[in-house]
Amino acid sequence: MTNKAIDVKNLYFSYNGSSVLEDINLVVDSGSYIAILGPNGGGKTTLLKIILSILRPQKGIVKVLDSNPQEKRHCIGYVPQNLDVKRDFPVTVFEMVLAGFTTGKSLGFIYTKNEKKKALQVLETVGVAHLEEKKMGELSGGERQRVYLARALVSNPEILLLDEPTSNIDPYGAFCFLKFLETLRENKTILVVTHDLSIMATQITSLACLNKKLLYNDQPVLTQEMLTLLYGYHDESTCAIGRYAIEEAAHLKEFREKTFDKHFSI
Amino acid sequence: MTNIFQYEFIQNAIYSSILASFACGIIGSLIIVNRMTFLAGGIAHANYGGIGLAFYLGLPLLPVSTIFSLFISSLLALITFKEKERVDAIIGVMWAMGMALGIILIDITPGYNPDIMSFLFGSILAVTHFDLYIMVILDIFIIMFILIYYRAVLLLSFDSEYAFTRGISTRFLYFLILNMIGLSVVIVMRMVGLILVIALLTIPSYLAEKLSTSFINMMLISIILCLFFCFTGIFISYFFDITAGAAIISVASVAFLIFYFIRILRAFQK
Repeated sequence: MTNKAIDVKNLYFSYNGSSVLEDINLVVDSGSYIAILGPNGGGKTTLLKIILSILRPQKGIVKVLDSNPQEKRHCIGYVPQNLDVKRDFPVTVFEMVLAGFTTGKSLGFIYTKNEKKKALQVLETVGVAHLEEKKMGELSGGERQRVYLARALVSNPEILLLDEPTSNIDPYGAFCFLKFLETLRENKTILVVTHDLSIMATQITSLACLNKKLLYNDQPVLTQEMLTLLYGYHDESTCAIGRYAIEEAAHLKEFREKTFDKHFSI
Repeated sequence: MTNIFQYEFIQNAIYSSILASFACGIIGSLIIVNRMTFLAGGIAHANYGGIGLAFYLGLPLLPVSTIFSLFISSLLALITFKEKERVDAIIGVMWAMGMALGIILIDITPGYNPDIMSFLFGSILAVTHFDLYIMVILDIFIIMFILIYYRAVLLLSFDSEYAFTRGISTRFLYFLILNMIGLSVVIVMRMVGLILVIALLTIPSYLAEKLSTSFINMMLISIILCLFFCFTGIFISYFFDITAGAAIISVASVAFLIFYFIRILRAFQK
């Protein structure tokens, strides 16, 4: 395993002349669990799409496992944002997880026995094996997110990228999901992009804040500088939001350590 | 009942129903899950240009229509893949342009002007052995396509962005899907006509979607429903002496309305 899972240097990106990412520098070490916090429109999903090679950097360099992102697609497990779901789409949970094996080279019609066995194992690991025969459209937000996670994990990727994984889940479901992510840390690099502060209550190893520009902290702590980047500093209200954010993160962490971890089960 | 099968046109109608059902079941399912009904309608109507071209050049109808349909489908695929925001307007333009071209070409064709109505609304009497051979070839392409690309198509249809991250060439697959729609239009157009093609490509698959838990089941149920609608329609048209294409679509539409009525009743009961 290489030391740098993701390496972003002097990255710039804009949509129709409107700058979204400015001089982004980020190194994600292999085996780390990093959260990128940022407001809506701050460029989080754009950065993720560039790492996934859905978008190409207009300026700067992005490397995944020391290579061009396109060459390392098979090493990335991606859990997309849980928003637009085709509720009537006739696909079972089991088939959706099997689809995680599909690549550009997957021709043919039939899934192998090995693929089916692995898909069932992963469904059990993420705790949704009982939903195997259900239609995707019948699942709750939390269940669907776990299925997407299973789909990403089934090909055993080195890097796991999650885009707003808790956006459509209630607070308890979000805690369960984030707690479960921690159990996957062995042999994987995890990058979570979110605006949800409850990520601060998990055992992330490092933190970055992104709002057009990116600030990185190798400790999982929000600094004053980061808060300024996220919420601004010009008026009292934004300062209050910043203070609230720090207090909220501390409370969540305390709650999690004292109460939640004792009762948690997958 | 036994006498009906003695007529060659009825035999051809039955064979073409079977061939059309495979195309409609497979490609109709793709149209429904990818919400491409308007796109398919555009390809179908624009294909009138292909009919006009065949008459103008004095060449066999289905081969020329196939080439024209593939051309229109490819053009639409190239334009609409990136221009997702204005897909409806682009389809509208191609739809009208193809039809206008067809009418002009038929107008300037010297000699006998063909019956336009039979191409717009179908003519079961017009299905020849040669047409059946062409339909078999086109069906083979469609079945091969789904057998080879089923897994990629499933992923693309559910979440195209995720499919791209898995290394699937979404542009190539989109191009292929639109071309397969083009082929399906040619297969079905002799039976029900260009205007009614869209009904047979969507009604069975729409109903199948509601009755299925998996994508493959949706395609199979859609094929069976399509066969049922076609056979029933052909028998009704024979016994009541009405246009077969319209009879087939009427049966499908009645089934659709009954299904919807039952759904509404169930919703009220809950």
